[in-house]
Amino acid sequence: MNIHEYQAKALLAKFAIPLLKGGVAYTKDEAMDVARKLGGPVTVVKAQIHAGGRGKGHFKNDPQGKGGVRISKTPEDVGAQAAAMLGQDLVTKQTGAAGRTVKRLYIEDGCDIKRELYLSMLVDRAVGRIAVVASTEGGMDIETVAHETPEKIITQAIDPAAGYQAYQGRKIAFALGLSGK
Amino acid sequence: MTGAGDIVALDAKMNFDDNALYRHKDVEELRDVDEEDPAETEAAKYALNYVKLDGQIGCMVNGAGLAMATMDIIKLYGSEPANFLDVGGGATKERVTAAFKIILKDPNVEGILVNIFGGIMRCDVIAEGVVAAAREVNLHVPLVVRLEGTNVDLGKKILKESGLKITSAENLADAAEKIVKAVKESN
Repeated sequence: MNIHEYQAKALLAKFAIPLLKGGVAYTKDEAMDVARKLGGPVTVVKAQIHAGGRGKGHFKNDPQGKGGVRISKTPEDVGAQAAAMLGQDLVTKQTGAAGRTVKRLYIEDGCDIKRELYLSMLVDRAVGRIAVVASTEGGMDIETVAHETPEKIITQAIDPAAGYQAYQGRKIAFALGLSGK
Repeated sequence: MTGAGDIVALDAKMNFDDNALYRHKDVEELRDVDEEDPAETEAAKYALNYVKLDGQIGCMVNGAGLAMATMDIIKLYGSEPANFLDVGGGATKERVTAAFKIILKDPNVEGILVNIFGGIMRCDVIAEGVVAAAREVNLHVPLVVRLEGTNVDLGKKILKESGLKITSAENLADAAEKIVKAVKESN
């Protein structure tokens, strides 16, 4: 079973993962309310569907228009973007030609992005362990990265008896080019 | 990473093992049925393992392995399966009927192949379910049934005496050949 981005972020928040402020919206008015509470200066409107590639996707009723992730500067514009997305079919690389109808939006604080990194945890069937997979090539299709530049992906399988080890954390951090803090 | 050097989670995707959801009710509540295939949602209600595919021949089979073999042999005889459907080891008449309805909701289905090995399951129960379901849904496509195992003769008798247009098959290859042929002829 898949869940939405906003639901996944609520789960991450329970584990003290740093997140930006945001809220879910089912209507244009709710979207504007959330935007006002966030207070700007930049707000992101993100379509909530169970498929990736939302930002690079397009809406069926507006094939040349913007995708499912839009940047806004005022609550009024957030409302306009919400109205343009809600109830419309978003087509991405993962949805097939029919697309998915957008029924929920996540309205989130904008942020100044310097680098986008990728980090995931999954059950690695090949070794029968939970593995941490990381890459410096975040924010884009990770399958393509794995296929074309496998050296940019680092995998650390966790020994179930020993647990996650500090050296594994360091390996991942160095591979991601992190320093300081 | 932000300009200030902080790390934030910008996006988040999570996937849960459906087989473990029963012990995580809080996660189960996050399910958005609008995002799921309606036929698969319906199948889940009856504890049926259903996966929609793109072919023309609907399959109803007990056991995942037999279902895979059935899909393979449909392909071997030159057609494509419309779905994977495992009705499980202890299917009741109600579940068989529900399975039929789900298969027939798919507009691409031009014929149905029922392949049941009665081990735990009794062939007469399956036969009764098939007959009841075929009557209830006004079956309009060819139907081939292959039964084997416990009470197989009683099962075949029920199918025969139902008065419905059901083709009985002797074995898996025979069943696949018959349904592929029936679908081609009806086109």
